Amino acid sequence: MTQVAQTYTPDSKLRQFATSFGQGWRVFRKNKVAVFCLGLIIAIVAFCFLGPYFYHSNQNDIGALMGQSCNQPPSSQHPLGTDHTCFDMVGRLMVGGQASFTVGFLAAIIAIVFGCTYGVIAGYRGGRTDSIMMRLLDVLLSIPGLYLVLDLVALFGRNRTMMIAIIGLTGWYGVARLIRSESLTLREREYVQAVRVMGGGTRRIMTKHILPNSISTITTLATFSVGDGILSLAGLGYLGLGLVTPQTDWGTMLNTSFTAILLNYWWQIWPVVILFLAVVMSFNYLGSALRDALEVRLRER
Amino acid sequence: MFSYLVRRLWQGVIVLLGVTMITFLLPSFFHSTIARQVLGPKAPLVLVKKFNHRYGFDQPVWVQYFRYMKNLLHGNLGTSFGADQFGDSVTSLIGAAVWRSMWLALISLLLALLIAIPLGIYQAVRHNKAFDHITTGIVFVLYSTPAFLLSILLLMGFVFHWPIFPASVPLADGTNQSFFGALWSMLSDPRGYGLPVIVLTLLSLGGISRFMRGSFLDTLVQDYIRTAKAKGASNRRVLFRHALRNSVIPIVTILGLSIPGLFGGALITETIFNFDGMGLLTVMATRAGDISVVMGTTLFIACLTVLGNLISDLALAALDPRVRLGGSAR
Repeated sequence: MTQVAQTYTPDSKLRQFATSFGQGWRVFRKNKVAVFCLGLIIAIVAFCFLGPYFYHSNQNDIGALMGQSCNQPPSSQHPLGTDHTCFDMVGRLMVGGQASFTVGFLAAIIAIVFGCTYGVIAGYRGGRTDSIMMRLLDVLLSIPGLYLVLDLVALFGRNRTMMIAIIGLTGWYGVARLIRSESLTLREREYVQAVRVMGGGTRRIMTKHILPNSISTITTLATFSVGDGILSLAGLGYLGLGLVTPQTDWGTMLNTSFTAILLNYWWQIWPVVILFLAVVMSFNYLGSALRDALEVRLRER
Repeated sequence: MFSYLVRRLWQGVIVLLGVTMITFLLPSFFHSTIARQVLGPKAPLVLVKKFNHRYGFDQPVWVQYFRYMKNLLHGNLGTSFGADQFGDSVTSLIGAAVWRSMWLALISLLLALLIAIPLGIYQAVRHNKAFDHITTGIVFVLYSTPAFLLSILLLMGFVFHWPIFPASVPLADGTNQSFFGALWSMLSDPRGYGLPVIVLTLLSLGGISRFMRGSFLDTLVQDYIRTAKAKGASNRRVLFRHALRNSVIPIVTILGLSIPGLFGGALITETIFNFDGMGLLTVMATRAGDISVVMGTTLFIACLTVLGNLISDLALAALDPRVRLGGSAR
């Protein structure tokens, strides 16, 4: 209750944020596996985005690769061999990872922003607005995700911006649902009612009170969303509907895995599989660890 | 119960109408490009106009929508614009694929339930013991492994390293696409269909056993379990008589929700093992830019999803009176 009397200077707000972040971090730090997963993700992101500055390889000029021998096993020149189009595998892993992470993160941002806006409006407004918005969501939810993604890819094509938009715009339903139910309970809390009594407008209540208080749900959802985005792109890539050469992503790199297995080109499969599994599992574990740490309701279990 | 049924049915109809608007409107923005795609980029304007007139693409959108809806009510999903199946009715393409997909999914769902329910219960009973930790870990790995990675690993192991299974399933021919034909072909050739069944079983195993474990753990801390124990009921009796019944109810939800998956096919698994089902049909159509087939399968699966939600809600309401008396339908 002392917080009501406190004056809201930017400085105190910053300190408040830092404190709550610090508290969250202290709880999170206790889960050693989760910290390891976070470290693993950071390491792989660094490998993909900083790697090319230290490890130089031709990753976009198909013409320069003409006449070279493809599908070479690891050698001193190519530590992980070359792929079926003669690209160096180590560099390929970095480029593919960049695409996977970029699409995953940006699609997650779209999904979170869109889902939160939709959910908080439906939940806070309630009544008829809520039921119309939820029916619309039911319509979208009844089309399975991968099918909708395929529809949109069939219609709009396969460039990177389109992929981000498509994966983001098909990934916000779950976010909207959870944020809606969160705002449904939050709007009945005393402090929200107090703001309303003091004359705070709808937009103010939504952006300054309801959304900041659902930050734990949002953080968890964001973690899962990034993992889901990476998975969706990989699924598309594996189906041969991913990014177009010379661009690539981890799913597209496994697109030729059938031939690679057949001819025993292990260097074209294992590095991608291991990196990919590490990333997806880390995001999944991180998501559930965050949910356990941040949601008091589930803490007893 | 009756008013609940009517309310849920009404909601289902509204949602279905919304879905038809999406599957109609999305491709309708691209109708002008279909003629060029089919007739070639250099086709004379007269031909293009004739083509558009023939398929009604030159009419106002609402006229087209009403015709689309009228055809839908007659079970007509339009015709394919793909190069290798041009003019084929989408309904018959779906009809040829749907039973194979259904039996594939049904068999793997059955196997998954048979393994996952006892596993989840045993995990809950041995809560926080070594068995629980180890199997929970394995289930977590299965749960986060995407279909294509699992398939790649199984292909490497059981097709190429130890050649137990063939690399792709028996192809669809006239005999194995009907309701009974598909079932017979799968049961008579367990090795041929083994890998996709194993992949799908392992994939759904994770979710179901996690769900079962959670539900059983929730039940075990209920007051009536404590009462039963206090009355001196044996451990076995408490588990199977009192806890099992109540904790299995939520599984009904999973069964309802898996209906779209049952008929809709597992997109990725079917594609990997070259299994002619709904999933492979959709993926091939997407690659060929065959919009009407993609939209047809999407609409079909959306209908099944609505149906599945309806069935699971009604089953839950029939089993658990709190649901239908709770007021809100969701």
